Order: sequence, then C-alpha cells, then structure tokens
Amino acid sequence: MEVLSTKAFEKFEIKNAKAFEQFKKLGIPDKSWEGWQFTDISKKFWAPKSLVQNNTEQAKLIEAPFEHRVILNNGDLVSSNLPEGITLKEIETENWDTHNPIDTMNASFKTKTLLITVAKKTKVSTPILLMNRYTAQNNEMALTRIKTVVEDFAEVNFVEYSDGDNAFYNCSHEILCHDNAITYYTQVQNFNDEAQALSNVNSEVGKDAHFYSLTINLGAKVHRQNINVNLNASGATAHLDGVFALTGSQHNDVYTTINHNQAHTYSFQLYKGILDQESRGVFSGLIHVPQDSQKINSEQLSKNLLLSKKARINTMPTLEVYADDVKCAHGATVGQLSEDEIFYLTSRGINEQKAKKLLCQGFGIEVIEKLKDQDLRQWLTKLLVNKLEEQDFGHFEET
Amino acid sequence: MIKIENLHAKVNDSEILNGINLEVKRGEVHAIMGPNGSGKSTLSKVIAGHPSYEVTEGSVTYEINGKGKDLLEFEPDERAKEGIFLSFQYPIEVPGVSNIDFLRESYNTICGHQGTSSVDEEEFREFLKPKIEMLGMNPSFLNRPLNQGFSGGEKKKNEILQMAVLNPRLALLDETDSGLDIDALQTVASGVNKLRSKFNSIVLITHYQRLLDYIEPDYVHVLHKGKIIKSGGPELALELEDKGYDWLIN
Repeated sequence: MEVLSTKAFEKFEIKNAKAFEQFKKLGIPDKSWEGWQFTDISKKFWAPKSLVQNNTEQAKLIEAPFEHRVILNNGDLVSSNLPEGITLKEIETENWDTHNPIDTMNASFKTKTLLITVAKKTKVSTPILLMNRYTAQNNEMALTRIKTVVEDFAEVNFVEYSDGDNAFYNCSHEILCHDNAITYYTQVQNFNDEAQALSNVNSEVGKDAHFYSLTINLGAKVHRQNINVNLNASGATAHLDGVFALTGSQHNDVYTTINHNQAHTYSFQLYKGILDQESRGVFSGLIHVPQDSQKINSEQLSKNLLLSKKARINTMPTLEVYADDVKCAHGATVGQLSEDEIFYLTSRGINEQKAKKLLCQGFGIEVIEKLKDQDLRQWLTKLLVNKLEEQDFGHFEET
Repeated sequence: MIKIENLHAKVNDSEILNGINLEVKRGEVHAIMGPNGSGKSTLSKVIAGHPSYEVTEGSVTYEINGKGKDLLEFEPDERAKEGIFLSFQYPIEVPGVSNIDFLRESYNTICGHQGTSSVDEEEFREFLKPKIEMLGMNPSFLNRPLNQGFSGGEKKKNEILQMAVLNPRLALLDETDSGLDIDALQTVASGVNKLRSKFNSIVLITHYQRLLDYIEPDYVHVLHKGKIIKSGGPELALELEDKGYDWLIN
C-alpha cells in the first residue's frame, strides 16, 4: 500500500477544484509541521483507495435511548426526528479553513454541508443523537461535513456517534455558538481497529456563550483530532473534556487550540488517557492569549494511565500568553494503577483483571460524570466499560 | 482457624516480620498491640495477601472445610472467597464505581463461591437495610462512589458494613478505631460485637486499649520489631495502658 501524499487523491473525482488546489499547496502534514510532531500522517496513514461508492447498504444502528435523532450514512442525510426549533438543511460547502489540511481535504471532496440550526431561544436539554454511520470498506474514503449554528439564547445537547470499518474517514465540524447560547457537543468515535480517521472541530463562541465539548475516543488504528475554539467576546467560555481508551497498537492524537480573542474569556480542559499494550496517545493543547485579552482564566489538565510498559503517551501544553493580567494553569500526570488500589478490590474477592477494569472505569468516567443528563451519562459509561472489556490487563506486571 | 509459624516477611528489602508465631482458634478474638512500626499492619496484609510483601520464611496454615491449607499459595481474591476479610486502616477511594455495585459484586463473588445464589439489586438493598441501620449509616451512601469523599469515620463504618455483608470466617481489623470519635467508635464496636460468634474469629489491630473496652478480646499480644514479645489475657491491655510499652521493650 501507498503512503499518504496529496498525489494519492488526484485520481479521485475532485468536487471542489479551488479547495483541492489549496490542499495540494498545503500538502500532507509530517513531523516538520508545528503541532504534528507526534503523528506524522504522511507515514502513519495509508492512502485511501477510492471515494466510498456503496451508499445503500444499511449499516447497523447502535442502540441508544434518545428519541430525537439525525441519521447519516457515509456523511449523507438519511432521516431525522428533531424537536421544534431545530432544522436541517443540506447546503453547498461555502467556506473552509484554508490553513488546515484536514478541513481543506474534506472540502475538496464534500460539496454538501449538513447545516443544523437551533433557532433563537430554543431550549432542548435532552440529548439529540447524530448517528454518523459508515458503510465504507477496504480503505475507501468517507467524509462528513456538519455545520451547527446555535442562535442567541438557545440551548442544545448533541451527541454524535461515529462507527465504521477499515476505511479512511475525514469528519469536519463547524460549531457556531452565538451570544448567550449553550451548546453541549459530545463526540463518540468508535471505529474498528483498522480504521484511519481524521477529525476537525472549529468552534466560534460569542458573548456569554458556553461551548461544552466532550470527546470519547474508543477506537481506530490511527486517529487525529483537532479542536480549535475561538472565544470572541467577553464571557465566552469553553469546556473541553475528553477520554481515550486504547489497546493493541492504536494511535490517538488530540490537538486542541483555544484562542482567547477578547478579555474576560474562560476555558477549562480535562483530557484523560487510558493506554494498554503498545498503544500510543498524544495530547497537545495550545492556549493563545493576545496582548489585549486581560482577565482570562484558563485551565488545562491531562491525566494518563499507562497499563503496560510498552504503551506511550506524549502530553504537551503550550501557552502563548502576551497579556499580563491572566490566570493560566496547566498540568499533566502519567501514572499506573497502584498495587494498593488493586489489592483493596482483590481483598474483597474481585479478581485482578476485574479489579483493574473497575479502577480504569473509575479513572475514565470523571469526564462523563460532569454531564447533566442521566441517560446520556449511563449510555456513555456503558460504551466506555465495553471498550475496557476488550483490554488485556494480564501482562501488566510481566512486561 | 489459622496457624502462623515462624513467619518472616519483607517489603522493599526491609525485614518487617521476624518470626511470628500465632494461632487463632474458631470463635476467638485476639488483639494485637504494639508501638508504631512494630509490624502490626504488615501482619494483617501478609495474611490477606498484599503482593508488595514477600514471605521469606515460615508458614501460614488456614482451615478450609476442616483441612489445613497453605494460605500463602492463595491469591488475595481467593483468600477473600475462603472467608478472610481485612478492614483497611486507609480504605481506598474508587471514583466511578458506586458503593452498592461494588458491595454486590463482592457479595455475589464471595458468597457465590461459598454456595449462595446471586442476588439482584432490589433483594440486595433489602438485605443491606438492617446492616446499614445497625451502623447508623445514611442509605444515600450506597449510591455514592466507593469511599470517595467519605470522612474518616464514614470510611471505617463502610469497612464494617462490608464485613457485615460478607460475613467472614476470619476478620482482620486494622486500626478500625483510628479516626473515630467516641460515638462512632461505640457504633462500630457494637457492629463488630454483633458479628462475633462461635463460628468466626477476629484479629483486632490497635494502638490503644480504648477499643478493647468495647470489644473484649480473649487474648492480647504485643508485637515489637516483627515478633510477638508478650501474650496474655485482656488484663495485659490494661497493664499496657497504664505502663506503656517501654517496660516490655527494654
């Protein structure tokens, strides 16, 4: 198989020539790119074989206790059941981040963008499921492009669930959180062990608006996720949380950027990694505070649990602070399960494997427990627990 | 019930136990006292099977179905299934796992091994009710994450609740009295007394005589530098309260 270069895409039907020209100019990121040193996608990813063809096969839907849902098949809208005040429309892809190779790649092949609009003052706190299923196989390329607009004073709680087989995925999101809006956006990514996935989130947050992002990464051979947040007016607040649980030789790289573009803006981040076997995780977080953005509060914490001596984590906070009256805290921890913790559970009759699973569950669940909706918390916990069932805790001591 | 002979154990290359000999028979309550660092907690952890402690010499024989078995061959979870229970001096906090789920998992595993059938959550809550009342605990504790954010006293009560649920044949209570106020101490002690029977044995590890006012032992042993240097009846504890440990050590 061929390694990844922009040349590999030339044989596909180019849907947007302007975007593709830009993509070729940017090229595929490698180690020399700022922010890509731990995931050289020019080497880590195999080139996709073709664009996804088969769009009729019904992929299996995961069970979920949510009444309101939008179902996508290979990025195309299939059906929806939405509460009043929330509308869907497919629009021409109009703009993309011209400096971002993931988004530019996406726009080159995805001419339709799914636009979700939450009308002014609409408040729906029960979760709305965005079922993003794929039927792509054999390294076909499948793309999703969603733009979500949450208008002034609206409140909404989206849960996007993506799964699929051994294919090449590129999901791009734009989330606009207008003044005084509250947006919860949970993304669960549960591809199989052969999948290669790129994902990009770009969020603009207005005055006194809150953007809550939770990402749960459970699978893919290799996955790179960019989350870019612009806090554009005073009171704009971002909460970015995440957990990834990796096994085998999975590779997961999360790169967050928060731009505190105005004074009195706030950001809070907590990312947790559970890494087993020979898996590798990366968390990099860039916090940018320009000179005029005073009275900023920014917290960032990366906590990681290594379950085997061959698992690796790179965690790297970067602060670019030019203002002088700001509060920025960051930290990272990397640890193992302690013998005392395991012993406490085994002394109650629970076998060592199960004890380790319970402790990992307890570690990972912290970010899920912050959610308000109980059904959602339970559903996400079950997904995480199922993933932990796959982990092989046996070799912890011997490696 | 359990017979410990010439037990030597070390942790990180330092010898903590230097030849312990102790036999606890069915229905007996033994108190193990001694100054800080004498090896009391280590003894209880070695019996329960903590993997950090290495037994270098000696034997521990535990009676299972009327036969003496080499306890040191058993993994910690297997020891628990055979009726050994350790109440921790510092119980571990486990976020994300509710107290009741943990208790039920433990109950179903241990009692399942001993031949009882599994219970569902509803039955289990009924089963817990009188035990919770006995310990003066708030039922809301059951839904909270295991030991997380519990006060010192709440953690100790939770340990005794686990003991009440699991009904062990040999209970090792490691400084169950530390961190308890007088009221909590009385509640915990009366809980332990209710669990005391002619079928099971209890080993109390404590610094102070105070606990023994409420739970009267059959025997008292003094541990120093990893060895039992004196054994006697309950009156020995009173003597220690009066004179301290110095007269035995020097």
